[in-house]
Amino acid sequence: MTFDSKLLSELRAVVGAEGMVEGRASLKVYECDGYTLAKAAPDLVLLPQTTAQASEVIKLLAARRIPFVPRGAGTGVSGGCLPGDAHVMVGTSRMRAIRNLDLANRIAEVEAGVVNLEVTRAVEGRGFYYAPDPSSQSACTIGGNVAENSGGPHTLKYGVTVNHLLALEVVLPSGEVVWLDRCGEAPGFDLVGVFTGSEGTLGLVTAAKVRLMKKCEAVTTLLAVFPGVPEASRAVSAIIAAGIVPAALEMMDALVISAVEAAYRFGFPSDAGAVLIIELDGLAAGLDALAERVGQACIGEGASEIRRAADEAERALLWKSRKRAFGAMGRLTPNYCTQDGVVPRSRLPEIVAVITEVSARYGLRIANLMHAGDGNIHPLILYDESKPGEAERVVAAGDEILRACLDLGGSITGEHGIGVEKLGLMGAAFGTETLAAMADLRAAFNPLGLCNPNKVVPTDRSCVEVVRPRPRGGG
Amino acid sequence: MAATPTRASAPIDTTVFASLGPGQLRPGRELDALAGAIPQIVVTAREVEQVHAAITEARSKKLGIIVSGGATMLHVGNAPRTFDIKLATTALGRIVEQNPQDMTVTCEAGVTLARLQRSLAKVGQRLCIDAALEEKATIGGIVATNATGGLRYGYGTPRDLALGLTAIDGCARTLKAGGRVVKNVAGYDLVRLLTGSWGSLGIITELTLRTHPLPAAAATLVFDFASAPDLDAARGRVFGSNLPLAALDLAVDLSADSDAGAGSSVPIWSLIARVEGSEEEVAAQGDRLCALCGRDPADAVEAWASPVGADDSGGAAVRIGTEPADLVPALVDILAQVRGGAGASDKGPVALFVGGHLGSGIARLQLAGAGSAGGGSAGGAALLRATEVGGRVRTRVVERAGPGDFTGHDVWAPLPASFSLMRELKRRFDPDAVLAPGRFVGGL
Repeated sequence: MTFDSKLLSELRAVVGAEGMVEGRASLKVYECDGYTLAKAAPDLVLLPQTTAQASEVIKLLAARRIPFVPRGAGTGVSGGCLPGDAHVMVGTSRMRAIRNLDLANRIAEVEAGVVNLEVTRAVEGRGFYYAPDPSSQSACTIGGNVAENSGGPHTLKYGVTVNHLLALEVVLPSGEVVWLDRCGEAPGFDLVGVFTGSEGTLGLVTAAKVRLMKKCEAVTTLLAVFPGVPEASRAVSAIIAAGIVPAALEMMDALVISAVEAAYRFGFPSDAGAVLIIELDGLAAGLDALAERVGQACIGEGASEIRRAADEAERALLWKSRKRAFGAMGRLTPNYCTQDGVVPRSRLPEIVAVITEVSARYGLRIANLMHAGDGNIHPLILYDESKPGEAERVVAAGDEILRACLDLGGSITGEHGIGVEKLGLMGAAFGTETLAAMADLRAAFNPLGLCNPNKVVPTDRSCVEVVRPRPRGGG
Repeated sequence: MAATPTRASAPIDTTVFASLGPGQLRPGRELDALAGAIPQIVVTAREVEQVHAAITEARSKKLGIIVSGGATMLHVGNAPRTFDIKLATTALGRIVEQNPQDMTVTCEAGVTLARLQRSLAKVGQRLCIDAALEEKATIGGIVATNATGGLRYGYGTPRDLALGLTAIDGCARTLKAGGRVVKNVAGYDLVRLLTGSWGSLGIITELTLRTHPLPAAAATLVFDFASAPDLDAARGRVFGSNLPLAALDLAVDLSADSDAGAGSSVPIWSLIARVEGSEEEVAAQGDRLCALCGRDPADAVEAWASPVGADDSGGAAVRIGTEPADLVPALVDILAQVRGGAGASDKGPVALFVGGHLGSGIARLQLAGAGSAGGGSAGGAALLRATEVGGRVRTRVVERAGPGDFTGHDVWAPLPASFSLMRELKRRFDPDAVLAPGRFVGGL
């Protein structure tokens, strides 16, 4: 798409030359997010530095009915910031201010481009932290976290992004700036709850007031080693059934373990079929006893070894191994596709059986990484995009796994979002009346469909046009 | 708000309710009235189809439906523009599925909180919602009003605990939102849209909620302070600590006033902490609390009842919201006004009950019922004016106006900055304004 020179000069007047990205080479960076099965670069990227600038550029686009797609750090994994029918991208990466730290009220007001981990860095000296901790937390931004309602390993006890938000400053697709507020039981609908996880389809979030947590007095991290994924899955149920809610309860299977061991050398047993990483936190009093109960529950389900991180360094290495597992997968495969399904926790053994069967039938290796305590599975389907037809098989295998999640009473996404990736499954997940209501919700915020069109809820058009991958290098 | 309906209503065709059994349909009576409006009929739905039929009939004739669970919060809201059908959900009473291994429960909207808790206790679990009047309050009503007690400090509100729901919206569409899993970001979050929407977008018929294990041990510790600043300093230390409390509440006992005569004595400010966990954790938290409060508890019991309740005494009641650190200073201002300030009707003792959530900056102030000393209408008006003094109160809801008192105010204040979005949502989910017409914020 080409833009008239008057518009370009008006946009430049708002964001400056440094706030505009043009030209094919520069735009290539923006051709995809972490979902690499589909790529398409936008024709123009705008990077406002303030809310006022964001409002101005969106007003200029709206006046010409030009659709746009919001973007945070581009770490999403469902293609939520692929341009689609929008040729302009509005990114928040230059909105980096921490506006206010109100520790007396445990609130931080931060702009959308602030990196997740920077929030914690800003307050940890005073004993506080920001709880949601997606694996990409050293790169992903608060704005993107809001758009995707991001989770992470510690959501089991502490909840996902939406549970930690008090208010949002958003630019609506019309360019109007509005605060959505749920502090102190603000009257009205929970628009913070509605906006969070809307994947950039209701407007551009420019700032958030987030709740800060106080670091626990004590934390202990266990590694439980199992002969296989079925035993580890049963141990998850046993821990939950014992009335224990760990801070985190994560699973990695043998394939993931082999990749992270090669990358980070934590010292996982080479013959482990699966491990659970179990974090317990709270008061120092009673924590040892709790760890003992968790260990016994694991042994009761066949764990061969229970290891407890001896010190903070060992604990940090264990978490690094877990959170950077995605990056380590490159050692095993040229390409992989991360899926994101949810089942009721007690159905984990069943979905694991499905994954094993799908893997064999499609002839694709599937590594399993799970937020097991939440029933949130991340099968990593390994493939080689240079082999003809393999990417298509990956998509089909992923769809089968997600449909099995639905059959088991679960969901097609726990934290990665629908994006373009799962649009074709929304009809299986929701009835027509519910989807129509979702379309109405979008229209209330985004009546002209100018903001991130054709995502999340299938329109008449996108419903029949299921997104399929293109070979890498094709876009 | 106007005390009489402003929309003339067409008569209801009761034959559309052919499936209703005995006792499920009756004419409206005086006791059903809201702000003077008596509904034409009262339907007690036993099946979702009956909710659907009521909304369909209402749409075709532009009638007003107000949904009623246990009616513990039914009085809260602006006067309805029209009130033709009172739809009771109390007979939607099935506990559909308990999944202790998944820590979820699915039930119909009319199940009372107490009944669900008894059922969950049999499998060692509970719902961490301590809304008031639990024998009457229904799960549907609790979620529709986002009702909470002090456990919101440790476990969140229904917005955090509701995982899925089924509702019939004002277009008579059946919405199946969320699911039965604890983590779910598929599509827009209609669960959160409906939670706390006070029956104005849809009628909730079934819910799935997150449950928690029953704690092995628990204690409620009450620390009394002779002055608000002393309590507030302790509050700051406790709130700034890393104690994983289940609740951190406040109660102000003004009864000392009446004992000692007008204005001559000081109220007792109590910090009420709920600690839960293993025996060891409960004991350790108790010790830490004593140190942070600089005193021993005046009372320590195993039972828990949040001091921020609702009651049916009929006295005027207002809920306020402030920043957490502003709550106690705001209450000091309000009490000074009510007890002796220019706005008070007399300088005599005031029977006022004050409870608050110290972690979230929420308090509820209630005058004794109209028949009691210090109650009555003049006190209610003074109470409302008092909340407007000092500038610390960010939000306020007039829960009950008291007899013939402080009408003319929007019950919900202030009008949110995002009100135009809310109006758009209402228009799209309830285009004929059949659900609780006019009752919610800004007359939605």
